[in-house]
Amino acid sequence: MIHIEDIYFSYSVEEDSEPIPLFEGLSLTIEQGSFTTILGHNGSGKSTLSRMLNGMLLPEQGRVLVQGMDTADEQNQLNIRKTVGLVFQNPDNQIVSSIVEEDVAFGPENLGLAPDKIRRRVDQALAAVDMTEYATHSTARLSGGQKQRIAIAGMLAMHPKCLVLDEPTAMLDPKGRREVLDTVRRLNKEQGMTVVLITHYMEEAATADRCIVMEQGKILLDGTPHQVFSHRKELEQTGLTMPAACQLAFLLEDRGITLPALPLTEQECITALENLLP
Amino acid sequence: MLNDITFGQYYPANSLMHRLDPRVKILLTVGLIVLCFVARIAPSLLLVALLTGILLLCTRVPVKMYLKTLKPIIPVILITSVINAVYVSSGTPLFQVWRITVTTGGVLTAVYMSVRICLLIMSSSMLTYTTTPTDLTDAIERLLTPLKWIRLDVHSLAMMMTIALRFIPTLIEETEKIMSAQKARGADVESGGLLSRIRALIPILIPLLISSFRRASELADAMECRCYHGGDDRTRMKQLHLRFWDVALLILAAVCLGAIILSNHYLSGVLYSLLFGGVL
Repeated sequence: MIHIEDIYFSYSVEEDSEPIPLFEGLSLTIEQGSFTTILGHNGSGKSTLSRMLNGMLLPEQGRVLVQGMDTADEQNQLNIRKTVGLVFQNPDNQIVSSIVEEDVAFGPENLGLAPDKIRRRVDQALAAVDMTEYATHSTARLSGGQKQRIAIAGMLAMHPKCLVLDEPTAMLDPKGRREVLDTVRRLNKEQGMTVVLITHYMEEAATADRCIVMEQGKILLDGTPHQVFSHRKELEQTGLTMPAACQLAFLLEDRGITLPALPLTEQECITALENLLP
Repeated sequence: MLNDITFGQYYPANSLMHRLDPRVKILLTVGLIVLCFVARIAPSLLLVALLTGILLLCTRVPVKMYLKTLKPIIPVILITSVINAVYVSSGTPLFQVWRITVTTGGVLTAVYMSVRICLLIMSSSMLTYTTTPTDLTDAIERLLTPLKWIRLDVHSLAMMMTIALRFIPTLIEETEKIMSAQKARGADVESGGLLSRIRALIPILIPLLISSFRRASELADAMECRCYHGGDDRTRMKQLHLRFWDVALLILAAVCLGAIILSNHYLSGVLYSLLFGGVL
């Protein structure tokens, strides 16, 4: 689906200052239909990486291929943005129109589709994020989670193959976070949408197929959530907060009680503990 | 304080006016405003007032809502009335204060002007009460399309209006947050003279400005991600269609405009002396 091949990228904090290298030969492949989470702290390069995936930023060296299309080629620009939908952190700053359905229509309108086709796509996209009843509402009166779902619907209406979400839950309350994550997971399961979720909440990574931990522009860990989360030492060094279930398991391990497998979610933890009891 | 902004407010109701094509509504409103100023004599102005009144009733928006829009412009009406009454010196003198003589012509002009301003405000609020902001910008974009001829970028203009309308509530909310934040730091925004109040606005406006720039840059990124590339090859989901009532009202408006211009020219003498000659 997306191939990142040996990319280099640096940024300057101020103009004329020495550029600071961020990516030095980073390579990564995102598989079709997979659910990948990229974890990392601020400054780990995860947001820069997300903008590389749809050509908003171009690598200085190396290349990024989206379904074989090079992001550096201007000719591919619209096709790549149509294929890889990028959802940002602040829902307020990505909604264009004051009416929900008109905002969702913004993308397909830019693609120059026929009015009735846009209408169909908008209705489908709103149904996919469970916001059909809000179609004619004002975007200003929605909650944060609802606004973020509208932003996702706006991307879905362009019929992307892959959805990249850059910390979509960072500005939301717990309820909004759950709404957005459930929506994204459902899209991955039911429609086979390739999802790249960028976050600094480790518990959001627990249910993914693949989990990548980044630090200072490098891939520190890469594997299934179980594989990645068992690297306790490395994770503690990055300063990411472990899910409560993992923390409990590690504390038990320190006291000599080892669970058969590392639990990632509350439910797994409960089951594991119940099995331990006689 | 910031919640009183009634500009561009939409009043949902199910009326003929709500269902009219927004382009027709804009043309009707512009027509009404032109009529207000074209009507130079009392009978034609009365006719315009009557026409506006009928249209207002057609909107099913409570009359109270229209009267509310007049409240903030009472000072404007008073000032223009006084200026007109003082400076226009036609007709017979009525009374004299110090060195200023107020004449019948002055009073009449003042009354005309006040009626015109009231009609102007009410007819434009009729437009905003019955039309959603998006319909409004849409209609403006389509009405201005001929101006592409003179290389005016109509699409960008309409896009700017859409975004401005979309961000009004967001920025109001943000202003309130910044105000609270500055108050929590001991800023005094609500007391003191005019000058100190203006000065107190600086710590509110500067953060607001900076955050608006950040929002603008993020929005531009988001729009680019959604394949926005200007108005070329862009289509619209909602299409506007003229229906029977749209055409009928347009014709009616054109007839009224013509009738009032004619009555100004040919009937003014006759009607004026007939109706008002005896009174004044």
